[in-house]
Amino acid sequence: MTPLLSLRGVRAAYGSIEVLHGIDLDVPPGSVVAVLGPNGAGKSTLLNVIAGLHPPSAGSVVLAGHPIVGARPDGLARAGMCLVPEGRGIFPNLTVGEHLRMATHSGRRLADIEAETFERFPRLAERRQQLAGTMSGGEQQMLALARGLAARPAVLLLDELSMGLAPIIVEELYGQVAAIAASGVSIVVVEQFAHAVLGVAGLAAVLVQGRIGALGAPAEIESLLSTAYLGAVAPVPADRPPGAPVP
Amino acid sequence: MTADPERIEQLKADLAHLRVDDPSASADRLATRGGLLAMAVGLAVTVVAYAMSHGTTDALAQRDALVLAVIGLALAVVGGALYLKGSLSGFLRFWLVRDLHERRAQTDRLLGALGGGDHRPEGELP
Repeated sequence: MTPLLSLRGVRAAYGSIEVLHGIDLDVPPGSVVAVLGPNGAGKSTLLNVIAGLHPPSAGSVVLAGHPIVGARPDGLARAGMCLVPEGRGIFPNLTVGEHLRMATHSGRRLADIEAETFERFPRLAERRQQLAGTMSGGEQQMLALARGLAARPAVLLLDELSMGLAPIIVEELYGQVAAIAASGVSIVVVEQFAHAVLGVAGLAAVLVQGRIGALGAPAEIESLLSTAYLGAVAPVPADRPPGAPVP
Repeated sequence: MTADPERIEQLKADLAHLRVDDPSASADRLATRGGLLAMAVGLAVTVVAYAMSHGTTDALAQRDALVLAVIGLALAVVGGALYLKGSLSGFLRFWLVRDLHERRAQTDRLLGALGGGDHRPEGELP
C-alpha cells in the first residue's frame, strides 16, 4: 500500500547541532506508527519536522504524494495534519466548551464537534463549563485530542500522550487512539514509555541518537527495547527497505 | 488498518493548493547569491561611471559620474561582505557537522573495541 506519509533521509539541526541524522519512515494510511526512544533521541523534533514547525536541513517529507518541506505549518494544519504537542497545549483559562468553539475555525458546526467529542469522551461532557486548567491531566489530554480531532485530521501526530498520567488513564487514551485509527486517520505516536502504545501500533520504530535503531512489528520491537534504550542497537543499514522485518 | 479514501482524496486536493516555499532559499544561500549579484552590479556601475566621466568635458556630468562610481564601489564592497558571510558560514557549518560525525564515529569505534560488539559506525564497511 502506498504510504500516506513518507520520510526519506530527513536530517534536522538546532543551529549547528544535528539531531536527526537521516530518518526514513513510511506511515501507511489508517495505521498507527509508534516512534519510541530514550529522552533526547530526537522524537519530538521528528514530529515538529513532519508538522512543518521545524525545517529539515536535508531530506524529503511527502504527504499524500506532495512534498511538504517548506510548507507553512498553518497550511498543513488546515489541510489535515494535526499535532497534539507534548504538554497538551491547551488554554488553562478557557473552558472545555470554549476550546471546542475555537475548533470551529475548520468550518465545522459547533454542535457537530460537540456531539462527536462528547460521544468519544463522555467525561468532557460533564466538564463542559469547567476551566481546562482545573481538570485532571487525563482530562486535559482528552481535550487536546478532541480539539485535534475536531479539525477532521488525515494525519494525527501525538507527542508523549502518556506524560504525567496514571497507567489506567494512559490505557484508556490509547484505546481511543486505536478507535481514531480505525476511523481512517493515520497516526504517528511518539512515546518514551512503550508498553501502552505497542498494543495499538501496527508498526514501531526505535529512535536512538537521531537514527532509526530498529523498525518492525511491535512484538519484535518490544523485545529489543531495553537494549535499544541502552544504546546497543545498531542503526538500520541504509539499503534495508522501510518496514522490512528486524534482522 | 483502515484507510479513508475520501479523506485522503480531499487531503491531496488541499495539498495541491498549498504554497510550498523553496527550501533551498535559506539565509546563507540568499546572502551568497545576493552578494555575488551586488558585486557584479557594483563593478558594472563603476565601469559605466568611468565611461561617463571619460566621455565628457562637462564638469557637472563628471561629478555625477564620480558619485555613481562611489555608489558602485559601495555596492561591490557590501556584496563582497555578504558573499563572504554566506560562504564562510556554510563552510563552517559543514566543518562542524563533519567534526561532530568524526567524534561520534570515534566514540562508536571505542565502544566497539571496549565491548567487543558490533558498533561499526554508519557507512563503514565490514
